[in-house]
Amino acid sequence: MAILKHIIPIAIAALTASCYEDFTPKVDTQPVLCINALITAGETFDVHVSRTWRYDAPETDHSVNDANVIIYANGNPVGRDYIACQGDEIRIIVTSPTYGEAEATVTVPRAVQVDQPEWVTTVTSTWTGEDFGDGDSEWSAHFCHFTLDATLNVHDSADTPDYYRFSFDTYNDNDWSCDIIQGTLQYKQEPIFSEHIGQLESVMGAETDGFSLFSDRQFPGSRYPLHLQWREMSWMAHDTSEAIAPIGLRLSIASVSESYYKYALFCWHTYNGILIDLGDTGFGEPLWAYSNVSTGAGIVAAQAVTSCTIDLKDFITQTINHKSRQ
Amino acid sequence: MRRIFACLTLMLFLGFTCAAQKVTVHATDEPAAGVFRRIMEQSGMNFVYSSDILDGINVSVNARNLELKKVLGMMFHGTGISFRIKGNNVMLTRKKKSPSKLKSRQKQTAAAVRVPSPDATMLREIVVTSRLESPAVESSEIGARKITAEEVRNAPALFGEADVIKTLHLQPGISEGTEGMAGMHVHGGASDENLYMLDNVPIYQVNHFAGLFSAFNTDMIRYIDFFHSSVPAKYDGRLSSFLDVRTKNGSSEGHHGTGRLGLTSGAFNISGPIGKRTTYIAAIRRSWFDVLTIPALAIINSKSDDEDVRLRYYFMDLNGKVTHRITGRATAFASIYFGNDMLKSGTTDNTRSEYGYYEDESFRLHWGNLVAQGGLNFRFREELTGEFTAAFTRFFSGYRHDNLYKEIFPDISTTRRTEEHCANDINDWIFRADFDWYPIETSRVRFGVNYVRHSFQPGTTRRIYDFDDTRIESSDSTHIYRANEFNAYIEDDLAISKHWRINAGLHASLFAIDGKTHWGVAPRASVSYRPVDNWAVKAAYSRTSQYVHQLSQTYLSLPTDQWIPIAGNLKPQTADKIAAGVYWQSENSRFSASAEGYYRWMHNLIDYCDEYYLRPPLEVWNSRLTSGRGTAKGINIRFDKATGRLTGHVAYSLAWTDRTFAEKNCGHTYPARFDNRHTINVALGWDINTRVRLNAAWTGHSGNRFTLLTQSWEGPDIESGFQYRGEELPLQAAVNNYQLPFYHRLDLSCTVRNRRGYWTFGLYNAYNHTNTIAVRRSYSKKPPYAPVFQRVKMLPIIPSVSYTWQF
Repeated sequence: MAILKHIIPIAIAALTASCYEDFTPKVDTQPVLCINALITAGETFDVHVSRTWRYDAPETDHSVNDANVIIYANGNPVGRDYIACQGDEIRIIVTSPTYGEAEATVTVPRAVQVDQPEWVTTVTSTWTGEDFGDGDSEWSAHFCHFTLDATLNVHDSADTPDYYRFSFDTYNDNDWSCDIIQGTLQYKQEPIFSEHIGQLESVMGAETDGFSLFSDRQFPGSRYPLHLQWREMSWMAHDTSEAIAPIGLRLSIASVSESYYKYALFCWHTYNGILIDLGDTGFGEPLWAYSNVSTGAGIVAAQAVTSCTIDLKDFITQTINHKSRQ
Repeated sequence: MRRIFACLTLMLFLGFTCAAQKVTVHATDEPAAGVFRRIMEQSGMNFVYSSDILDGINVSVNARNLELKKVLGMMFHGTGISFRIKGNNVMLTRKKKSPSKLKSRQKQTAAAVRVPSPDATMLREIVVTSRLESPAVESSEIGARKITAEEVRNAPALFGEADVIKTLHLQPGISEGTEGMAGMHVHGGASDENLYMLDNVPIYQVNHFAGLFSAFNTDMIRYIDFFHSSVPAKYDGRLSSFLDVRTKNGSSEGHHGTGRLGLTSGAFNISGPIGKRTTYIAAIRRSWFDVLTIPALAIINSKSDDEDVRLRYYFMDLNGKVTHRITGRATAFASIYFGNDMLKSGTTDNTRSEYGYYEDESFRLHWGNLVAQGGLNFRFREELTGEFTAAFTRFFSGYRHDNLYKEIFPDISTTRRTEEHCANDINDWIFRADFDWYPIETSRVRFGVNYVRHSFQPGTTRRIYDFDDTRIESSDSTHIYRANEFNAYIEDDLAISKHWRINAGLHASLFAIDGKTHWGVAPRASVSYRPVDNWAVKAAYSRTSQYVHQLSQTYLSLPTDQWIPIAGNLKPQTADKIAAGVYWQSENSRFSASAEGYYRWMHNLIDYCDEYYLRPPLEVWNSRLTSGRGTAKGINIRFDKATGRLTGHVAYSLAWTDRTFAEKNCGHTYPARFDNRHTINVALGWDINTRVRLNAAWTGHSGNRFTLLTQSWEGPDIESGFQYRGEELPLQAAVNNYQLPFYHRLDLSCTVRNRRGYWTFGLYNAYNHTNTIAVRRSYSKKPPYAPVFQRVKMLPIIPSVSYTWQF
């Protein structure tokens, strides 16, 4: 809905008649500490410390050289080799003689239970290519375009508001003999990927555009089936006698902290929402970035990841055999 | 819907007896202008007279349920003034004494035409001034204005569209908010703290086109009552102000009307009698935007090989009112208003190849109001009248988004269809009884009760996804909030002596929702002391409460804004206000001046927490709201010249207003967005001759407050799994930490009459000073494209023209 998405900017542009005037506001600013960290259950983590800067300042170095970082897990100080566990409350305190103090607290969420996905493929086209190679070792290969439909059941725990992030990538235990291209996930197909889009954004034609975070507010304490469809997927397999090794998609559902979700939501607003445009032009409240750090700068997030796979080995093998019989 | 009209029709034709133009007035040696106002309230008549005709004239009358003609005869007996009733106007002239005197009078008043009634060409040589507003020194009211439709029409306006709300922006103590928008911030209040009414029935959406135009069609307006300091006990439900737009009754003498063509809209209205006892008036206004965009879209589509674009927007207002006189003691009326905005758009791929992709997308957004009411004015006894009203007011908005996507290839074809619907509705049924009682000559008691059945449905979203043979449905429905509201009020306006006048009242309310009952008692009092005839000192106290509030993500007036009732842990918003003032009026009422001071403190105000992204459903929204308090204080000084060739006012306001929320701005008090310390308003009208009138309005005020995000921080990239790539993000700052530059603007308009009607030429922002409305973070246009702050300026000079044809 490109046209709607641009109605307000066009209207604003018409009203403002391109009247933008550079200036330097006389406002005192005091840099503060910024903390960024992503804590994943079962792993060690890094804490990134920097500082804020005035937006129109020419400086580019925002590092902090005199910071002291202390990490507490469940109230106890821990070292750099600390491995976070699900349910841990982690508090990070940073002090700097130059920029003061900052702190943030986050609880590592518990991993969500997911069922093994149910899936089905639909072949859209296949063909065989021959005479590949450099002359010394020529070979032929099978190609296949297909769509993949999957249902992944997510079991929410009833006790707390939960936030999730869906992601996927490919895995391939084969060497050069077989490869897969993961295609495009149809985010529009799954309604829950659109639940964060408010009415105003809907009116303006905003779309998920890859935003795959969601909350449990529509299915608290119960099961939710994620409807996933990949299009324009393809695989290529060399015509060899070797059996195909495991190959497919790895699906991950990460239970993420509220801070992670809200920060991601702000990022979505930055690139897809209308509110930031409205704030920039005086028709709405200016939006600042979400932060759970005491200074308002930085994000300390946590996650626990659950993964499962869709193994396409058999599908590829059967398709090749079927093609060979033809 | 059918039930509504059936109900109203039934109300209309109930067998009550009715009264014509009969009034009850008691006055002893009082200025005539004050008596006119009382007659006008009872009869709906306008008084039209020359500016100097009432100089030094006081009247005495003791009439109970007498015909207006007889009452006027009693009033003007021996005063040398004659009157004539024509349509809704009572026209006053001096009695002819001698030809030479008449000639002199005509010459003197010929240039003082202010009210172009349908009979303007006929009246041009005689009159005319219409002073509907209460003389400042005679009543005990503070901050009350009665504004005529003519004042609204005369005020220069954006695109030449006369606008009730923008006319009020010229009053002291009222801020327009964002330039060009029909916001209204009274004494530091928010825009949702004003109760807008159409003939005493609340109306929720009062704007068209995101606030650029008001929903009130000026062709239907008789006058506007506006209160913000001493509020009559009849009104409650909002914190800041009460604006009641009173519509005209139909003409009883022939069919009259006007037609208007402007740059952005056209309007037509007609009124007249139906038989001897019934009158009607009907009006329509419609914008032209959809017509204007046709050629632009044709050009765009002719140059596009890929897709056709559709875009259509219009707004429309329909008004109708029927008044029926059945017998001598009651008048029945029914009226309807329907306002609607419609935006349709879409794109269609126009590729015609056999194989490939095809997409068709359409979008439909509509919003508006429906107000229907019927009622009876009934005179029980000579000194007691009542009005019984049944009304229905509905606000609606919704959108529908359809997308059809096809992939057609030799081996496979797929079809994806998505639908998304969203609806917001408010339905209020109102039943009301209001009484007006004169127990003694010096006392006027008004009392009444009303019941409102609210139904709020703030957001129902439904999505349907069809992928070939698979259908997925998702609905995100907030439940319907049903609430019952009861109100009762009583007030007495009592003239204790020649010097003292007091108005005391009480408004009690109950609001029951979700098993909770909120209640409020709102006392109102004002007192006036007149040491001499043309001076008055007044003081007032009022308490107001509010049970519904508006959620909005922008400063625009959009259909996605949600009115929701008090729910969850939130408490009703309340405000207390004390005001005092000194008033002076010249003996001939030509000049008046006032100085008013006020202090207002507000409780349980509602605003978003610092994290204010609105996401469905509503239950979650409530959790994102926070409750706090605010104060407002200031002084308004005003000087008026009411009659003569040059009329207008000059006003100055000195004001402070702030907010304190525990969950906002770290709990620190901060200035409100429209904390405009100094405001100057000048509104002048000059009758150059009987045909040409020039109007000018200049406004200047301290800049609005703005939250300037001065700092940045480096955030992680979500897409790449929290990798740090230098994402530059705005750092939270103190709320409203920056004041925009001083705002000023001059608007001009000129009305030129001819035999059939009049031309109106307008010039918005006449000296083309674009004002700063915001500051944004951007980048310089030249290398090295460094980050810079930029002032965002808006609305340059905008000319307009329209022609109004009268018949």
